Amino acid sequence: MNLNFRIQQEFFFLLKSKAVLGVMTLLLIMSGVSVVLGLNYVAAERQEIVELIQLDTEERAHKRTLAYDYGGAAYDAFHAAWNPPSDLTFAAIGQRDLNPTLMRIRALAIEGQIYETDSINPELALAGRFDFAFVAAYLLPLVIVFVFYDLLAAERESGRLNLLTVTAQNARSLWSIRILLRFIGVLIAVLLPLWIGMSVEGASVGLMLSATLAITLEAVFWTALVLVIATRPNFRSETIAAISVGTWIVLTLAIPIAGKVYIESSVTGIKGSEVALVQRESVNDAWDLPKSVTMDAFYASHPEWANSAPLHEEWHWKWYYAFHQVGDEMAAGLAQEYRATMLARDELTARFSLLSPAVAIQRRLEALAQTNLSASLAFEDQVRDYHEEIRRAYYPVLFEEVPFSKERLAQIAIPDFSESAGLDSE
Amino acid sequence: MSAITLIAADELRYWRRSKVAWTVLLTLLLVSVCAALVSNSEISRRVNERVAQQAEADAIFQAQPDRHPHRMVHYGHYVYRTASPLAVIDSGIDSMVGTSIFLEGHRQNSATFAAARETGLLARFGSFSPAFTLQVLAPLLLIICGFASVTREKESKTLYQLIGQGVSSSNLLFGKSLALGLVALIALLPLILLGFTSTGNDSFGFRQSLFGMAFGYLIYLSIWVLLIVSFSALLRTSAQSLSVLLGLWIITVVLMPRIASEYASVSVPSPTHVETDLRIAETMRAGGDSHDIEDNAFVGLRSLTLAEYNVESIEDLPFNYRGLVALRGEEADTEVLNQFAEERMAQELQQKTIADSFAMLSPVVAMRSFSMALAGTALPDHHHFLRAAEDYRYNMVQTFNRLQMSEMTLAEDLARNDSDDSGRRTRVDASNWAGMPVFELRPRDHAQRRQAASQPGFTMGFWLIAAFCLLLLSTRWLRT
Repeated sequence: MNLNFRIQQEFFFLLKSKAVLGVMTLLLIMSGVSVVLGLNYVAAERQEIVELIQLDTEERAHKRTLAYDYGGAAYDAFHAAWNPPSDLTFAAIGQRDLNPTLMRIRALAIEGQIYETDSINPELALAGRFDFAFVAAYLLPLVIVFVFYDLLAAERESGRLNLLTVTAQNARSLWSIRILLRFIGVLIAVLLPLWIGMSVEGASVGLMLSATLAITLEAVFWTALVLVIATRPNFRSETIAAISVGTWIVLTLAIPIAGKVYIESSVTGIKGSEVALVQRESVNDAWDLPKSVTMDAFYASHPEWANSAPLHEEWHWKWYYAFHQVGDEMAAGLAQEYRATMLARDELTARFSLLSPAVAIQRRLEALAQTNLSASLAFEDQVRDYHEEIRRAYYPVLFEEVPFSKERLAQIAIPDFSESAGLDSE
Repeated sequence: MSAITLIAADELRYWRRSKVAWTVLLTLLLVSVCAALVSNSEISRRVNERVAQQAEADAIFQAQPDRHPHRMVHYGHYVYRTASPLAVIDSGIDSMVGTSIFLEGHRQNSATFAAARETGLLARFGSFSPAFTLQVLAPLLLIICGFASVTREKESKTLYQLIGQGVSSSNLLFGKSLALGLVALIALLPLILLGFTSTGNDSFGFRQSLFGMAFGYLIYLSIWVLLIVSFSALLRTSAQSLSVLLGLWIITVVLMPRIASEYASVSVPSPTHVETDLRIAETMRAGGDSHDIEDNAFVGLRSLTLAEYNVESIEDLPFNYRGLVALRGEEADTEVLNQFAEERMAQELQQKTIADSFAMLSPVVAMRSFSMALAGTALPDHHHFLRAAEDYRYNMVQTFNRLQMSEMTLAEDLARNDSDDSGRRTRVDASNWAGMPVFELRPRDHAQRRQAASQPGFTMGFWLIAAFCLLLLSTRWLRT
């Protein structure tokens, strides 16, 4: 028997085993559904961004027509900032719904604005998303278990095993062909929808290869694991199934949950609400402090305006924006600490991904899709930079005490967020 | 002893000799006890944290110096969400929603800083609580214990001996179910003990809710026991029974909750908060800017007030007219804000109803809803917190606005920014903030929670009846 013939034979054999084919089809459908849902999600997000930009521009223009001083104009001028979905976001939505993605910021203290997340329906969020990352982390291993658990045992229990080993000239090649065919079938079932989705999104070949590699490695791990269990002599097929599913529970449910408990109790850093509290206190205390205290602190970090005319007792917008900035500066250390806490937790999560392939594949996909913590923090940095651009744009008219005119106000040009953050124009 | 208990005792005797059964039993016991302990320490840590933060925020607020009341309107206050005592059993949406809200004038801020964001990726893998153990793990362990309860007898040909000896097939299946049900009871014990210690003498009926939860879990596990024994009776081999039951578990427990919530969020899309903010701003534009007494929106108010007090100008009014504008402005703003907030909450409930309708396809969807509702950690409880916080905000802001009306003249108020001295004249005594009542969230009472749990409760009843019918059906199948 030549190899081609044997592969053909095994292929027909695969086509005849309805259960295996059925499970592969189920995986294909689940993967397909997750991709469609994901594409739907990012399409809605893009639509929201377009609408946000338009509404935001209109609102700002309207507010400018009402302005009668620069400080008030800056107070009323919100600027949209957004974190556009990447080419792979549809596959791993990750924590995107809990992280800020769309926001409108103004020249006031950024610490009071940056933590505003979208209002999600918590009961829906609790169940988790049905995205491709979920299919890959939870369902793919189960399908692999189902496809491989009775590979040997079924033949043994039906008494064909010895016959097969005797008649096949090379038993090893027979099993490798059978395993390889099933493996490829599973892989295509899970990856085909992803490839289609990525082509629709216009993802690069490199990204496609990285995602494919990640999924393949995960599939290899699980196949090897199930085969090790399945080839133990004298294991009945239900024992193999029970042990494999048990392993799945430990790796996919138990270890991540234990990890969560460990991380939450061991990294008890600062809470976000504490940052917000400090920021508010410092902004508000400024009202009761002599103005010179605030201004001295402000000029220390902004020496270029130190020559601005001294303030008297009456209200002045430059004092107002100065104390907002000083409030940010006072909370900056805590804000860094808050980020450090989240990063420390992320770091520990990385260690748990060594113990759990489910955590590992989700982390990898979220990293590729830029829906992980570092992507979220990078967006935060962009927003902070943009905020600095906005407030600095108003400083000249405020600190040089330029008399108000609509013409001068119109000259205060603040770039769009896309320009500021260097996003591709959409 | 009746035939049923004899069969059950026989099944238990078989398990006593089986390594798998011992492993399952010990795992179940270990996991439920650990879950109870971990969840207890986790929830009490969260509660203590929030109580401490609330106390800190209250202390800072009450220590504020003499101030212009409108400064206090913008200074605002923080309130923290407390957890229900039954959150130790089912923390529900607790980690998904923000823990604190900043309350200030003219705005309704959303609850920020959800624990899930701060935890990161792992937050979505579930939480180690008695609810998770009972909803997700217990059925799986029952499957491993019971998938072969009848197929084993078929495969070793003892089934026909039993029937030949005169054991009726219904007695056989009831006996097997009884034995498996006893295993399920072990999983329930830690829940009841933990619930008992965390609910003391409270007037909100949490202990009654606890009994409701325990009863619900009993029904839920009974559904699984009946399904497992039925499938074991209906299918020919243990291997078939195991794969069908595992498939059932994966579809109903792992897949369905996610499909339900995806379906709900696709069928009722919710607007983003930015979009809502913009719409609110647009609607509020008509209400005018209450900082500016010359705003056109308050022309009507001015003439009405002047007529009511029979005076020529706002300076002659017996109170500070700016305070009145702030008062009326806040009233109008709040009406708009509440309208949007109620719209949003109604939409969330609508999504929940859609997601809950999947309970007909999966008992775990029903159980999740039922359990959260009784634990007081469901969506309606969060809405209850939001409404209570809003009430507190409105009363606080209006108290300040009334102070602005009564404690200074219009002339003093208008001159407040002219000099430090004139600013001082518009300041109100600090005792006014020190004496403000602190925010206390009264949880919803048992009747409200029971009402929220009734729909999923009925669905579970339906599942129990359906599972029982399946068992009866499989007795007939066994006889032929």
